Amino acid sequence: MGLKRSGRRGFLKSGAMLAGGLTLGAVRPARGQLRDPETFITGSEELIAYGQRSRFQTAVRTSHGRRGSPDAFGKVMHMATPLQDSVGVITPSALHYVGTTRGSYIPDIDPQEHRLMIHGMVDRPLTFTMEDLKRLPSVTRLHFIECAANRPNAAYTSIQDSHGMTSCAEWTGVLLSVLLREAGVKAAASWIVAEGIEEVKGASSIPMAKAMDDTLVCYGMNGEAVRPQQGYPLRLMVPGFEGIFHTKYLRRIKAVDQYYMTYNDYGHLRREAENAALGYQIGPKSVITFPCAGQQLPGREFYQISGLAWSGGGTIGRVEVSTDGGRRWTDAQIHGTAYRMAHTRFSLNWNWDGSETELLSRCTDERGQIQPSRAQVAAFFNVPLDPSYRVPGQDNSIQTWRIASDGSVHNAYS
Amino acid sequence: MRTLRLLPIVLLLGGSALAQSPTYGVGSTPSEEEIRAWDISISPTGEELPPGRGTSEEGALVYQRQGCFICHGATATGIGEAPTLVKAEGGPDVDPWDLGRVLPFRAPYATTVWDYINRAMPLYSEGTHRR
Repeated sequence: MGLKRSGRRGFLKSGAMLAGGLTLGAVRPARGQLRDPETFITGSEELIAYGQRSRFQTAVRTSHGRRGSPDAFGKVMHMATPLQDSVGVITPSALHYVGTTRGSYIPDIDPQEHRLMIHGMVDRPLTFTMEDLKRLPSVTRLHFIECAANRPNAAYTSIQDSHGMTSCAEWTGVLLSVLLREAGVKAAASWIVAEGIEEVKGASSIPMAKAMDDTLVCYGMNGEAVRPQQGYPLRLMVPGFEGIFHTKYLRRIKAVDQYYMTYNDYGHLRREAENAALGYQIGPKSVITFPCAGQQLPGREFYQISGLAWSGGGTIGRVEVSTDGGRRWTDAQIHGTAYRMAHTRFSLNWNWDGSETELLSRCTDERGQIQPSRAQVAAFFNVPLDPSYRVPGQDNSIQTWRIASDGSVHNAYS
Repeated sequence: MRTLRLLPIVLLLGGSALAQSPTYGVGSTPSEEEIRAWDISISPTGEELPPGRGTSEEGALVYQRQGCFICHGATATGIGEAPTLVKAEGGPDVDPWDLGRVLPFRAPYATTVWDYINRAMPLYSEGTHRR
């Protein structure tokens, strides 16, 4: 052990010398970085059995909207992901955003007792235990979820406020089509109603075409069981649809021949079809996560601008970034593979000259749909654009960050 | 030609069986009773509703008797975190879309209101109005 330690130290030192040899005049020496840590994280059986992040990492979810969580009744309301601290495309399960129908207790479900029933317009009603579901062919897919409440607003001072109600995780489960085929869906069935077992029994109407396409019944999330706040032991994943469709604590799916107009459905009714459609296929959307509102650039020169793009329409094909308030656009680099209905990381190398400017990103999905500006949305709905303008439906408009000459970054709509 | 001649036979004998028979045979069959106990869905046609009828005057008595007023107030305009169930400016000439998300106004079917009360009311004792 002692030998290993000194060996590693020796390696780091020679690495430092090598880096030192290549150092250019403008780069400051990396003082302090190569020192051995002087303290240890006190080991406990628990900590070794199930790890924790460093105490220096402090990113946390924050309340979205006016109610804190837990609220006065002990209910959990909407909680937003700290996108300003995100790297890569996977949101850690502990930081995945939380949305609840009307505020909810987190049910403490014993998976041995949990059942999923499929019934209604089927040839053979079926009940599945968790064990049954894990015997069936599984798929693992990256998918984002986004809440309808996720929208820029003049009052917001951080990306967590304006964009934190979306997250992306690796989900594992059984395609709902497999379960529906086991039950034998009758030809006249055109919708399903999916329902959870939590105290409000949240239920949503979902088109049968989507149920038979890529909808997933998930027991796994980021390599372990779905977390309780995400619907343990079982949740529905309806890729690209508004968050509310992704039924948690899934206990029942009924095949029916009409839209059921449940409480969840009614709450998301829209007057215009153009507006309602976005809830069933979230439009292409992107946001720059670094630099973003609330952050401070330490000085001019090099930054890699980085952000996330996603679309309910499929994969992200292109992301463009503007560093001059939208006059000129440059293609950003897409990192790794862009997956269908998943957050996709993009970046653009940039040298800041120290003057006030605005950063924007816009994306195009595989269908050729382009993320609109707020002005374009207002023009489409033929209403005047003012600072308080609220994009109807699911807001996928472009977010502009303003960089002041002191390096502070702000919401440009404030 | 041979394929075409065989097609009707395939459809008759095996077509529906191929499409409909279970592939994996995993899962168990719930009893009629279990399904009835779990199925609380109410469609806009109201076909699943239990038999019954009532007037708004009778409804006002139920509102008192069931204790709805404790949270939603004697005039149903809400107290604290419990939402209002009425809007003073409502009426036959008012566009319900202008009134916000007040359940009885926005929901175009009474079944949505009935279903929500049935599944999710009252707070802390959800489902105890269920029948």
